[in-house]
Amino acid sequence: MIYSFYIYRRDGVCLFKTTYNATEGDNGGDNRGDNGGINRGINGGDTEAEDEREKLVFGMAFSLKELIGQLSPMDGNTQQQIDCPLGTVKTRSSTMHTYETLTGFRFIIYTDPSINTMQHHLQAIYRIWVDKVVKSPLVKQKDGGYDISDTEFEKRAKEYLEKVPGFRR
Amino acid sequence: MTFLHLFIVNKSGGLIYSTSFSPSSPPLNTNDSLRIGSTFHSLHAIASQASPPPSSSSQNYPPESLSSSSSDGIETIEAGPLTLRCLQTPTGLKFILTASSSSQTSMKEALMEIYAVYADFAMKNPFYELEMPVRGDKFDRGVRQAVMGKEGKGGYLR
Repeated sequence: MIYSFYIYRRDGVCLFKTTYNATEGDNGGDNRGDNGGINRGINGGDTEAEDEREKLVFGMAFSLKELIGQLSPMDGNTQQQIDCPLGTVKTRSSTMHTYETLTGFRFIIYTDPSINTMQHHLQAIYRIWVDKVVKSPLVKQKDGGYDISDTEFEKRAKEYLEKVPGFRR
Repeated sequence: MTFLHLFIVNKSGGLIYSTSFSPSSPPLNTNDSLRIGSTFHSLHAIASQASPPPSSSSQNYPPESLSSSSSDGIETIEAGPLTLRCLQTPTGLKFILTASSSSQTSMKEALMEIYAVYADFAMKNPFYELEMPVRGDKFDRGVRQAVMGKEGKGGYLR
């Protein structure tokens, strides 16, 4: 089951965030999955906790990358460290899947621990991002991030993710 | 499959043991190891904070949630060829093992065995002080044996 999805720019600004499969009892309201994405800070009692979480997620991905960079094995021939891109981080209750593009964008999806890999899905979403946001003239700069509410990205990403096996339990 | 490093971190984030197993382990000096140990310790704590709130359906399992809050942290990290696996004991000690292109099961077994070695040669050592660095030939040898056995097995399976 997919819980949430974040996109960060290289400097840690969150460009997009949304939650899926939120249960009805959650503070954000049961429609969060449908409209919770672009309008950051929509009504809902847990906005502050969500903002905090957004920062924690980036901070964790950032520091783990550093950590992994120090631990990655040496290549026997060149005596250089092999590049090890951070893929998944598993905890008992959830799994974080990350994909970092060459330009430093980070695509992060939280799922339940039963899903083993999302790498190709994350890459597919990156392609949607390139098509619908990077190439779009409708994207506006806003508050240091992008305002992508005029693009089709959120719709397309949601359509794509809903087709991923295991999107719902 | 090659095991690269083992770190043991005490419950307050201090490194109490670190070793490397293979020529392909990246060289780390004492400072690096200490920093890795404490960084991982904090990331372990952050991971449980950052993970999304469990949906109400999964809160219906009290046996799990009772024990989870303290021990819900990073269990494995997969980063291309590198795998990191962490075993947290109920007393808050963390065993962190890294390997390249490894199978999760053999890493889990190796970690359990290292835990047993720790219990045998650190905890049962009357001169060992809690939370302090672990020293001792027998412990070193035990750790190496635990890891070498698994390495061979993994190699055979592949």
